Amino acid sequence: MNCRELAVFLSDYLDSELDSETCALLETHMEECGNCRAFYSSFRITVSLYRRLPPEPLPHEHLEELLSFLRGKLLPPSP
Amino acid sequence: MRRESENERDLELVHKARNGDYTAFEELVRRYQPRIFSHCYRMLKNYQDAQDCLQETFLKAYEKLDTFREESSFSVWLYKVATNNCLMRIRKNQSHPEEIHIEDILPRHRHDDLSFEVPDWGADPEKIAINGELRALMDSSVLKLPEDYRAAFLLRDVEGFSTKDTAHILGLTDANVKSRLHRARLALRKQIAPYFSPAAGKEEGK
Repeated sequence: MNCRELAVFLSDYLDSELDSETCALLETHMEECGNCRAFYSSFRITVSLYRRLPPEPLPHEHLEELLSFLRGKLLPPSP
Repeated sequence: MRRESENERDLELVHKARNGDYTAFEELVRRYQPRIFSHCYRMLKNYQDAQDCLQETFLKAYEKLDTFREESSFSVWLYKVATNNCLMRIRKNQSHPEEIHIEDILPRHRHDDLSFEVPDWGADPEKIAINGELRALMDSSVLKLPEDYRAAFLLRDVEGFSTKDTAHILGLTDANVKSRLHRARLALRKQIAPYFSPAAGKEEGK
C-alpha cells in the first residue's frame, strides 16, 4: 500500500469498517511512514472534535413558543 | 438498550398521536425539539431560518404521521423531514451565489507527494479544549461544505446516525454516504489545520 491508497481508506479505518487484510496493510504502511501517521492522527483529531460538539443552545422559552405555534396551526380554535 | 427503549416510547407516542391524542404528539415535540433545532441550526447557521425549519418540521411531521411506516425508527423519519426542509431552504436561497464544489475545498496536494512534511498536531483529541476560536473555525468550515456533504457529515459524525440510517435520511446508497463523509472529513481537516499548525495551510495548499 502506498500513501495515496492509504488516504482512500482512512474513513473506513477510523470507523473500524476495514477488512482485516487491508487493515494490516494500512497499519504496516503507517508504521513505516511518518507523514501518513501524522496525517491519520490529524484526520482522527478532526472527526473527534466534531463528535464532541455540544448541541446548539436554545432559550428555555423556545419550547413553549413552538408548542403554542403548533397548537395554533393544528388544533381547532377554542370556542 | 437506551436507544431501543427510546424507540419503543416514540412508537407508543406515535400510535397515540395517530389516534387523535394531541398530548402524545406534544411529548414527541418536547423529546426532539432540542436535537432537531441543533441539527437545523448547524445546517443553516441562521437562528431565524433554523427556528422556521423546526416549526415546518413538526407541522409536516404531524400532517404526515400516517405516512410513517415504521420501516425506520421515528427518529430517522423525523430527521429525514428536518433535513429535507433544510436542504430545500438552502437551495431556494442559493439562486444567486456561486455554487461551491467539494473539489474547491479538498486538499490539493497529492498524498503520495512527500516533498512536504505533514505537521504533527500532537495533542490527544480528548484533551483539546474547544475554545471560541476553534469553535468558530469548526463552524465556518462546516458551512463551507456543499450542503449535501454537510448533511451527510452532520448526520453521521455529529448526530451519530449509522451509515444505513444516514443513507435512508438522505435517500442515498450506503456507498454514496461513505464517499461523501470521507471527502467532507478530508475537507474539514484541511480547513481546521491552520489552528493546529499555521504552516499547514501553506504546505497542503500546494
